[in-house]
Amino acid sequence: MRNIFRTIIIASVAGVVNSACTEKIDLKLKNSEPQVTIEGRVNDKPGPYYVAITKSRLYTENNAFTGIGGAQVIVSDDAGNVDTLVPGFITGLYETNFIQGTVGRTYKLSATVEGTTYVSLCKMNPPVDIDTILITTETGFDGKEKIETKMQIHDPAGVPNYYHVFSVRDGYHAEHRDRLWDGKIREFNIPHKDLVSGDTLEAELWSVSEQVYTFFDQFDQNQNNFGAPAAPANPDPVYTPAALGYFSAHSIKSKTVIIP
Amino acid sequence: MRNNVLPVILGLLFSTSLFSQSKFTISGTIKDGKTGEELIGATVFLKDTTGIGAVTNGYGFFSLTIPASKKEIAVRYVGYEDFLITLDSAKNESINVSLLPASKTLKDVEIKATKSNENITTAQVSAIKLDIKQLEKIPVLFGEKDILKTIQLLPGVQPASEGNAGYYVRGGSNDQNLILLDEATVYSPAHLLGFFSVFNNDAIKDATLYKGNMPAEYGGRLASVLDLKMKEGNSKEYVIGGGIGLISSRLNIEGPIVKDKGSFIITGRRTYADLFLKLSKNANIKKSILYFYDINAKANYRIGKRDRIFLSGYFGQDKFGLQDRFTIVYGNATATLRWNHIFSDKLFSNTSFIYNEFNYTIGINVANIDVKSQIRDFSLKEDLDYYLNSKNKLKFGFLTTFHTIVPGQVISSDTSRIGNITLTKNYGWESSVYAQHEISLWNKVNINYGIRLSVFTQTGPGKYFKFPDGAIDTFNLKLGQFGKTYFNPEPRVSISYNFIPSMSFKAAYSRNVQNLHQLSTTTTSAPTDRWIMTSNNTKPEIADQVSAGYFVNFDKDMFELSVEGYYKWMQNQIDYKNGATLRANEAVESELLYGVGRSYGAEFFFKKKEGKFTGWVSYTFSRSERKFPTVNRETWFASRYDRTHDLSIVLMYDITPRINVSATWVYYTGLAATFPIGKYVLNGQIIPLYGDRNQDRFPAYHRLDIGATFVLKKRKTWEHDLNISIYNLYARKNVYSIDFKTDYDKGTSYAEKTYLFRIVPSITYNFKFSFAPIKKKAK
Repeated sequence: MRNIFRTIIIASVAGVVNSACTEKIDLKLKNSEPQVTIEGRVNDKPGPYYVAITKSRLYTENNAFTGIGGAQVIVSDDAGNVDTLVPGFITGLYETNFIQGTVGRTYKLSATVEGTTYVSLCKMNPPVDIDTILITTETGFDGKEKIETKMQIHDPAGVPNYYHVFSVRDGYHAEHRDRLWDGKIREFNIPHKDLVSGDTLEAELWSVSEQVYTFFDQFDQNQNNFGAPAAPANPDPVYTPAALGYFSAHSIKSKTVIIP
Repeated sequence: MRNNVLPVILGLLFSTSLFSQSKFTISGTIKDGKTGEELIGATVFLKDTTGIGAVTNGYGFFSLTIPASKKEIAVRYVGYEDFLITLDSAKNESINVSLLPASKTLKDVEIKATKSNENITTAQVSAIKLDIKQLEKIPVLFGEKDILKTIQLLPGVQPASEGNAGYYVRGGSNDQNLILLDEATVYSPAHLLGFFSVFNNDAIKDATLYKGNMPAEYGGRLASVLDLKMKEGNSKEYVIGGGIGLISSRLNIEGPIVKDKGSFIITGRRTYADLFLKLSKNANIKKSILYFYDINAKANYRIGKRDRIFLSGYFGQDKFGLQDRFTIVYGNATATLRWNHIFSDKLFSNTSFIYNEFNYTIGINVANIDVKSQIRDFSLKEDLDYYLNSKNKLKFGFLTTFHTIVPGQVISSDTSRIGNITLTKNYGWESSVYAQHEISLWNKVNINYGIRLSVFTQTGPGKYFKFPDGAIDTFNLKLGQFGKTYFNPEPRVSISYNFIPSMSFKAAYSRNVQNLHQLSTTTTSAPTDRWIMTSNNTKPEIADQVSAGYFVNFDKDMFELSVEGYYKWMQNQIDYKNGATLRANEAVESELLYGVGRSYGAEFFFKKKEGKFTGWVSYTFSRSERKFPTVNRETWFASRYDRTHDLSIVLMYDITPRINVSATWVYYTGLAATFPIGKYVLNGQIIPLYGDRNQDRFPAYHRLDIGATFVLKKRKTWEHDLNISIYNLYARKNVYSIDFKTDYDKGTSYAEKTYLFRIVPSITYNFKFSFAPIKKKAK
């Protein structure tokens, strides 16, 4: 809703006056020192689980991100399991050896990169089933027909739930919390690129922690297709000391459908 | 020390009145002789003595006490012919004067003590009275004459964004501007996504903008007051006027209820942008809705010599819908009932009952729910003008307002899976009393000082929140129970010193307090932005502003030049935390940050007031900064309202009495913005890494508009004209917003700007018929 007005303004001006338009613009951007980015995930499916460590680049540089090798990465839980990760198949990727994600346990990621140890904690919440996936055809604002998909879920009553809807093929995601509809049946849009008949849609529903929900929600506010808010800011760090990225321990339910 | 102040003030008040045995008072009303409209700010003064005069108040009333030896009185108002009165005898008298609009062929009657230099002599600083007639000549977007866009061409006032009716005054936010329409607060002054103001020019008689140093009679907002007064309606003959434009059409009717005793005016507008949407080939655009309408109505009636009743109202609504997915309906409504009473030739009273509301409903059809929100006020206001003598004027009164905010009510139909949700309503009771004294000394010094005492009380019934150490705790107030109360004294003073009649130096200090706050998450304010009241968590916003300026008129008041500087400190400013959830959140205050602000600047204004060629140049250099805990490591940063340079040039030229052309050019520094300082990768997605808040700038904005008005025919009983204008003549693609995007195929990231308008021509046809009421048999 936040920037819907902007969208409406642009769409209306474009529609009525036929003038609103976009074009590339050259801006003088300030430059940041490269910053450590740690992306770690543990879930309730069988491992191994992966942690990726990279460094930020200047905005004007190309997107050839390279991983940081040689880091010491440990994932542990509150049941006493401690797993030191081994380098994965590309530099900067690390994988677990034996630890198994279990609902209700709290996980800790500790990564020592170039002499600094970054730590983040996360509790794994119980999963919520995807009852069904609904497929409809809708006409977009541009007049073209599009295949839209939704997942229907039944929110567990009496507990706060945080959802991360994820489409596996495209890596798109959307965030929801049940603050306004605790215990209700809900339909979540599944974000994805255009689908055509015959495509396979694999949709996942992650039950994430409040901190991870907040991270992605803040992240979406800067990233969404309606444009940046008045003062975009980086999501609040989930690591101590601060590093970019997140660490999520979550449970997953998934469903796969073939578009008819 | 303290005890000495009162006797001094009393001494000043009565020093001249002690000798008043040989004086007398004339009082009355100054009107437009053609329409019968009262003239606000007309001057009444002694013909051959400088420094003795009076200015008509908001109802055209004046009172002037003069020595018994003086009998020649002059009345002057810009754009009208001067009027001279010779009194028969030195006794208290009530006189009503009708001025005739100046015809260009006649030379002004020569009067020695010239008084069209009110801008120099008045103690008031940082205030601008707008010339509504001149406004008609200025070219605007889609040819819709718009008072809110015209004030953006003045020093110290900046547009919120391209084509937007929203404005920032001296580094203050949009919600720090108080807009009064016949004393009623208009919370959301824009139509159609912000492109048009809700004020129909045909209904407005007088507009004055105070940029922070307002007299004590105004209060409630930090940055400015725009005081708009609606026309009373022609009391002599019926007039039907209107216009047909590209975007909207207008119609207005005015006339006497009983000739010279009462009159009415009704004006209306409606857009037809939605008709253009119907022309679209796109089925979804065809299904969209986009329109607004507004109605102004006012009537007044004179009951005897001393009493007059006014009833005025505004109602406007916007509606738009995207396909059949959702609709937003929003609008303002105001009603003001006023009673003028003249207690004596020196004491004028006005009592007002005021109602105003702003509401919106968002209908989300796909979910079968409506979200309703409303803010409404009931007020009682009393103002008394006491004209002690020709050197001293007192004004005092009170205002008490009961505020209600309905922050959001979700109403769902049976088929919706979302339940009904009602966020707790908030109530607040805000009152103030004020007194101000205008005094003129030694014909050179004018002082206006006063104080406003304001009190705000959080009022039950309702649920309120406390946030001890980050936790959320609630408490309830019962019906009629008071919560946190804030008292604030607001001293105001302004002084002018006239070196010579056409040159003065002025200085002023004011404190303003604000108890209603708008939480805006976007660059421009949207009608759905949430209002909150002062509470146990949110303290009243406070601003202290000092201003000083040098004012000079030259070439017989043909030219006006002013330089003003100001510095403003702001306390208890409000911003939101990163990722704040403002909507449908009862505990919204837990998402807010409180900080401080400061703004300062210099304003330059040069105007040519008379002749074939008129216009002005306005330049402002300014800074507006804020400081919040957790933002930019608690250092000062440029606010969204910061524009370093702001230049406006307005030129108007009457080629012939029937053809005039005009041009405006505006330039301002781009908006302070936050750009990426790097990027990082998460799950294969490229994410911008943002730098400090507002450390970057949009490219500078500039635009040239031109316009021309052709009077097709002008007769006594009817006239019509054609207005043509071109917005953004050289088609600059001014930045409206900037997005940062990644081209995954090329492996590069880039910035992309969105611009709204290139070149926009428009044409408007205006007409006016007037006819006298059916006459009774000639005597």
